[in-house]
This record gives sequence, structure tokens and C-alpha cells, in this order.
Amino acid sequence: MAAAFPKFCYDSRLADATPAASTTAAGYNVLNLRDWRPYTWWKPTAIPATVTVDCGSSKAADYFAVYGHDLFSRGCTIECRKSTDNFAANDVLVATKTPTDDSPFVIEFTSTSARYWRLRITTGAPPVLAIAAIGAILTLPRRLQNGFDPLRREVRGTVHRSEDGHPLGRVLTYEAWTQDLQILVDWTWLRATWVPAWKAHLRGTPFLFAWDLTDHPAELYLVQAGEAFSAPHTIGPYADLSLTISGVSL
Amino acid sequence: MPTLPSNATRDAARVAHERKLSIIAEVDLDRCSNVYGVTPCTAGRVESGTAQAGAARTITLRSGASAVDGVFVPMTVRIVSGTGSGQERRLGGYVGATKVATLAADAADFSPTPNATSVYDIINRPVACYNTRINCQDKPNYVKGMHTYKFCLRGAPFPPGEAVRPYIMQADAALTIIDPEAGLARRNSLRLTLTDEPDSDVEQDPYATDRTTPAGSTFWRRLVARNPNTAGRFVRVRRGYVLAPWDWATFLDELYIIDRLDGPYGEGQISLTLKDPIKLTDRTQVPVATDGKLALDLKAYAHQGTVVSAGATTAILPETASGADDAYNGMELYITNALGAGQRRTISDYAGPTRTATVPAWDVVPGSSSDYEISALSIQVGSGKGTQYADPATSGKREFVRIGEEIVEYTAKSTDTMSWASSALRAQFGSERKDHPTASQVQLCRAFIAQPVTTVVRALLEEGGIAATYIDTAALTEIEVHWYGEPFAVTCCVSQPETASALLSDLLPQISAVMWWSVQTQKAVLVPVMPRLTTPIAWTDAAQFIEDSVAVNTLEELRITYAAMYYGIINATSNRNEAKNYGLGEIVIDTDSEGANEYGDRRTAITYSRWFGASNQIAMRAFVGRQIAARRDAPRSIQARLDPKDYTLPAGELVDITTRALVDSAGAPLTTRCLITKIADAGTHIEVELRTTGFTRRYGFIAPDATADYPTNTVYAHIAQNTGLMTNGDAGYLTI
Repeated sequence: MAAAFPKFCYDSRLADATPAASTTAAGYNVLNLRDWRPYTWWKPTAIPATVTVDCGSSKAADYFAVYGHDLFSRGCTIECRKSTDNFAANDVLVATKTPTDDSPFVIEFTSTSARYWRLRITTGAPPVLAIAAIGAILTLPRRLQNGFDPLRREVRGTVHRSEDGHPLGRVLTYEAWTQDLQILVDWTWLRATWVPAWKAHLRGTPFLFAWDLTDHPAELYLVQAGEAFSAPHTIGPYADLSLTISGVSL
Repeated sequence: MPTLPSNATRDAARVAHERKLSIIAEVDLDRCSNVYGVTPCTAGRVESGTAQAGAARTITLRSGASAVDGVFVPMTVRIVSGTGSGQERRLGGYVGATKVATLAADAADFSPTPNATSVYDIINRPVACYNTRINCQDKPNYVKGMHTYKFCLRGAPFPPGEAVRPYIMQADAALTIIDPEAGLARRNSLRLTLTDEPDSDVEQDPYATDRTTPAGSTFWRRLVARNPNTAGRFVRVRRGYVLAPWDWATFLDELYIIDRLDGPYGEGQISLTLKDPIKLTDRTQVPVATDGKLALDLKAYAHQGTVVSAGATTAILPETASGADDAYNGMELYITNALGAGQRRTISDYAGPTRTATVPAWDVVPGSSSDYEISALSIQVGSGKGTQYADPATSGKREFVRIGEEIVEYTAKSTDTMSWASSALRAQFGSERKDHPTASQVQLCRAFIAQPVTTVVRALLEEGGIAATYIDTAALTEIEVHWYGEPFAVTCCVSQPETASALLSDLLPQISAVMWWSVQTQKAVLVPVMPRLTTPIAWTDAAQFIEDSVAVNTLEELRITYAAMYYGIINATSNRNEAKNYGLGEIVIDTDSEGANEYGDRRTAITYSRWFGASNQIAMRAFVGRQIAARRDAPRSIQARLDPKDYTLPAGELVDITTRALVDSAGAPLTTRCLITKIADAGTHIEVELRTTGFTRRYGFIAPDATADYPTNTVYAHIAQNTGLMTNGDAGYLTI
């Protein structure tokens, strides 16, 4: 199995306050970036384009992510920047990404804090972005246990044969991706980290799940948690945390 | 042969071994084209004037502006003219003493900065409307525009950059089923079940970011509250296949109107019921109902008698005529026999004491034995009622009214008065001339005089509420030329309001035609149920029918041995369902099938036609013959499923099927020519229903000039030898 621990990307500085876009095409509101819906979009009208948020106070982040975009097709580079003075004199490049395809991505960086955060698109033609986040990533304390099957798909559709038995074709509606996550965690982590994250976001709002950002960064899924998680006590100071997550396969 | 709209991209995607399905519904709802508070919309402007000064992040309002701190926060300032015109910024502060308004922290700087030439409005956007009529705050300036909401199947891919909500949980289609006996097919119906969710409201609310509090509730609940008048709005259902990159060329669009929007239900779901536009013909009557009533008696004859004497411009009537001056002014004096018979003159003056009628000069002065009739030439229908009646001067057609049991043609209309040029225009369409008392109802009629039958069909559609753009007029013209023509010309009067759909359902079976709404071509389609010149596409067990999907039913109830057509209605106001009211009839009896060696019973199909008369005898004779030919043996109905690769034909087309479900006496699959009565895209497969036809054998068509002789040419009819066989021994053609 891979070296990295599974990660949840849900925390976002764009949710701390109303983000402001440098430009916005009609019908592509910048608020769509933070709604965790892959079917609502933001689109600037000119490049460079920025989305800036004033968090009100210094806030930390160690990743930025984009899900649903055509940055590659539009020839864009996207930057994550921070500032202490709303980018007047202080404008620090934190991370940058020039996509090589239009797949979703997460870029991790060393945790840093600032009051003002910004995504900046520097080259190319105006792209569309569905979901963007800058925030603190939630990393599970261990790797996933046996049974996790990251490549499995549930195909919704039908396969047709003729009355004489000849193949006629296959029609897909979509491919679902559903996983039952199970991991042994200690009670301290469960209470201090997991439960607040569950209450703040995970139980009701979609999030990005990366089971191995190091070796398989492309296997990134926008998922929704099942109705509840369970964490029965097990040997020692541990609980057996399990939950179901589901989304659409890539 | 008509096929579904397609292109190379769609065809390639359709026949691929693996296809990824997409269904996207585009719902067009009303949205005001104006912007809240921006001219011409006057709503929400709480302060206007010329700025005293401006800077990158401030604007100093006029000296008379409010002295209350913060009163304009978080409203929007808009520079409407002068320097900086067109800029809008949200305000974050206002000092009443100095009149300085400061921009909100997340607002961009003014550029260019306003100055003392800048005229501004302060717009209270937090209380703005939602750009729909129901919450409009400036209705005189409401301009109906449109916003399209898009929805796709849950979990299905959608085009990048387009707001397509994955809300469709289920799509239940009840598409057209063509029924040759009914003529007008069942209306297409599609019910979409859509889920609901909380939502940021930025798509529905153009001013969502200006509100001080986020919208409550959910997407559909808010949409229903803001759009109560969704019925009748258009919906396009786009069905296609997902390609990378996305390509709309793979999609086939279906057009519907919203019939109803129900919900939300307990789990927050919405049901959107869509119908095809032919539904409108169920709601519209032809002719339109009118409620005018006679203001005065209308007698069959105001007076009848024998002329006492006559001069060049006069006629002296007998003592039995009215003694009142002017009693017959404006009426017609008609000499019915003897000297001067056939002359009609309008009485310009009538002297009661002398019984003298003054008329325009006679061509032949009537004699003392000339009989006459005096008749009114106009009616009045009550004040203000005249607008309900068509004016023949502008309607482009002859106009008739029904009074009691009499139909009268009127040739002119003036306000509430309808008049006719001659008393010969009374008692039309076989009706009887009678007395009608005051307050008798006057109903507008819809008459067709020697009209091509496809013209009648088109008129019924248009008068039934179907816009001309949704009628395939080119196809109607072609059908008229190839199949109907003069033998089917219609002369008929519809003297009472009936729904347009009822009239079409009455007429279409009598011309062996079916009509339905093609959701794909987005037109009302008329197709005669007749053989085609071209050989149909073949569907077989090997290559088209999905495993275990073929089922066959025998439509025993449709079998007939006796077909009768009664036509030439004697009186257009009489009961249409009694043979005695018709002057003409055609009957065909298949004695073979009635015989003991065959079915041994009599099954009748009787048709009464108000549309056709003596001039249609050839067509009526053919009609009953075709009925027997098509139904002497019970038709069979076949249900099956196809893979989407074979979704190329629309309903109404013919297809040759070969399946083990239909075999000959030796048990071999029997190729059978069928009419597609239903074909519906169910997403993962195509549902079809077929009806067997009698068209499997050879049929003759009238050939164009210079067509080659038989057997070089076998498409068109060639006269057989007296043996019934062609010169090479082939079977002769059947002409229908």
C-alpha cells in the first residue's frame, strides 16, 4: 500500500468571508466556488483573475484544491497567495500549479497563516472553476485497513444482447464510487479532531477525499459521507472509526 | 423515408459499443430583463443626486442627503451619468454629517473616480425583487425575459462550465401511441421527478450577494414561490451521449410545455409534468363559443303573397302585408315565380297605407300573378356582442351563424349587426328556414367550403391553439399532393363549439391518417397510414431486438367484416350519429371472412362523416375498401425493446420485422411490415410498439412520365394481364 495517509479537504478560507473576484462573467457567480457543488461555476472575464478573501484575522492553510475546471484546456496557471495588507505591499506566493489536464487536484504546502488569501490565475484564457478551496487539510492518523478498494466502480447501466444472443452494446448512466472506510484511531484524536470536523462540515457537506496524495494524487474524489460514522471502542485507547463515503468516479 | 434528426457525431456515438447516457432538461422560466433600480426600473432608489466629490473608495453625496449615519449601508451606489458612469459599488459606511459614503471592504475601487459631475442613485438592493413578476416592485417597467434552469440525471456527467443541477431522480415517459382508429394520438407526457436541496440562491436571485441575510429554504421551494406561473412555459429535454470533450451534437432535443409543477412532497421532491403542445387543442373550441342573442325576431319570411301590381321601381303588395310605414325597409323582396321570377331587390322605402314597396329598378316588372317573399337581411346580436363574430371582410373566409336549427351565411358585419346580401344565404348546409324569436342564441359557425383536407387539418390545429411554427406545412402540402387532392376536398359546417382535438379525432380516421406531436422535430405530424414507395428498414432478432423483449398481442377487437361509411349529411344541425341523416353511403362486406369456413361472424365498423359529400364518392368508396383490407384479419400489436444504436426512425414510419414471435404456417419467421405506433427513448434502451399492416404485398403507385416498363421498373403499378398476373408470371398489383 501507499506511503501517505488519507486526507480530507473540507476546510476552506473562502468560507470565512465573502470572496471577491476581480471579474465575473454573467451567470458565473464567484460564490459558486465555495458551495462544494461541481455543477455551479465561477468564470472571470479577463486574465489575470483573482479571487480574494478577507478572513478578518490570521488564518492557517496548508493546501489549495480545485475540483471541476478547464485550467489546462485554457492554458492557465493558478497560484495560491497570501497577504497581511490585502495585497497592497505584502503579496506572498504560497503555491502554484500549471495543470497538465483538467482533472481535479490538491496542492499541499507548509502550513502558513495570513488574514488575506487569494487564488490568482495568471495566464491563458478565462477558465471555469466549479470548486476551489484553500484551507487546512485533515489527515487521518493511519493508513486505511484491508478491504479498501480505490479503483472499484459501481456501474449503473445495462448491457444488451439481441434475441439471437449477439452483443448489441452497453449503455451507462454513470459510475458510482462508494467506499467503506475503516481505521483504528485513538480516542483523543477522535474527540479533538474528528468530531469537530464532522460537526463543522463532513456530516452534511461534500468534501474532497484523497486516499494517497503522494503516490496517487489523481485519485481524488468529491464525496459525501453517509448518514453517520461509528467508532466502537476497541483494545487500548482506540476506537474503530468507520464511515461510508460515496461519489462519482472520475 | 423520414428519420429522426441526426448528424455524423450523434450517429457515431449512438452506434458505439459503449455509450454514456445523458438526459438534460432545460426549463425556460420568466425573468425580468431589467436590473433592479437601474433605468427603466425605478424600484429601490432611496437617494439620488449629483455628487459633491469622489475618490477611489468614497463618494460625497449631495448636501441634502440623509443626515443619519449608516443609513445607506449596505446599499449600492450607482453612477448613472457624468464621470464614472455605469459603475456600481456596495457601500460599507456612511457619515450623515459629511455625506461621505465609503465603499464596502470587498468592493473594488472606483475607476475612474467620481467627481462633482457624477450623478448617482443609491439603490436598496438588500430588499430587491427576484426579477419575477410576482415580486416586482415596478410592474409598469417589468419586461418579460427568460432564464433557463438546467437539470441532469443524478450522478450523470454534465458539460463543464454550465450550471446543470443533478436533480433528476426519475423520468417517466408516456409518449405518443399512434392509434389509426383514433386518428389523433395520445398526447406525449413526461413526468420528471426532481430532488431538492439547500442552495446558495445565486442562480435564482440576481441580487443574492446584496442581501443582508442568506436566503432560507431550498432551491425548489424558493423557485415555486417566485414563479407561480410556470404552466405553459417551454421545456427542452435533451437526450444524448457523453463525449470528451463534451459535444451537444450527440443530443436529440424534445420540446414540451409545462402542464403542472407539483410539490414539494415530503422528501422535498418536485414533480414536473410536461405535455406536448397538441394538449392545447384539448382546451380550445372550434368555433369559439359566442353568446350573442337576437335583438329582434327573425322570421322565416316577413311576408309572403302575390304582387297586386308593380311599376319600374315599385311593387304594390296585398292588404295582408303590413300597414305600417317602413315596416319592410332594408328587407329583400324576392319574386319567386311568374313574371319577373328570380329577381331580388332590397326595399328602400315602404308605404304602409298603400302597401307600396320602393325598390331599385326591376329588370322585368313583376305582374299581378307574381308571387313574392319578403325577408330580413340582417340581425343584431345585442350591444357589444358583435366583437365575438368574425368579419368576413377581414377573416378571409365565408362566415356563418347558427340560429336555432338554421344556419345563415352573413356577408358583412358592422358593430353588432350582421347582414347578408340575399335571402338565398339563409338555411345553409341543409338546414331549414324558420322563425326565430327575440333572444334566440346566435352561434358563430366554422365552415369549410371545398377546402383541401390538409388545409382543414391545419386550420383546426391553428384555431386549436397550435402556432403555425409548430405545424409542418411543407409535409402537409406534400401529403395533399400525393395522397388526397380533390377527392378528399371538404365541405362542412361545424355549427356548435367542439374541442379542436375532438374535431381532429373525428376527421383523421376518415382520411386514414394519424396525427401526433413529434417531440423530436417539434412539429405536429400528419401521416396517412398508407404503403410507402421505399422499402422500409428491417429489424430482426439477430441484430435489433433485445433479448426476451418481443411480445405479440392480437387486436381481435379491431377485426371487421363489414365497413360502412355514411356521408353527405342532409342537415348540418341534425344528429350526426344516425344513418337516416345522411344522403349517401358506401358499404363493403367481406362475405368470405363472414363465412363458416373463416370467422363465421359479422363485425361492423360504421363511420358517419359530416366532412364529406357527393363530390367525395370515390374517396369514400376507397375508405371502406381500405378498412376491410386492413382489418379483415385482426391486426397484431408487437412490443419490443431496441438498443439505442437502432433509434433512427420516428413513430408513424413503416418497418419490416423478422422475429421468431411471428412465424408462418411452416414455423419460419415471417417478415411482417409494421407501423411504428410508439417509439420512446427510455435512456438505456428504446421502447417500441408496432402494429401489423396489410402492406406486406405489392402495391401500385401512379408512375411519373417516362417510367420504364415492367419488370425493369417494379415500384409503380403496371397493368396486369387478364389472368391477374404480370407477363413474367409475377402477382399483379393491388390498387387501393
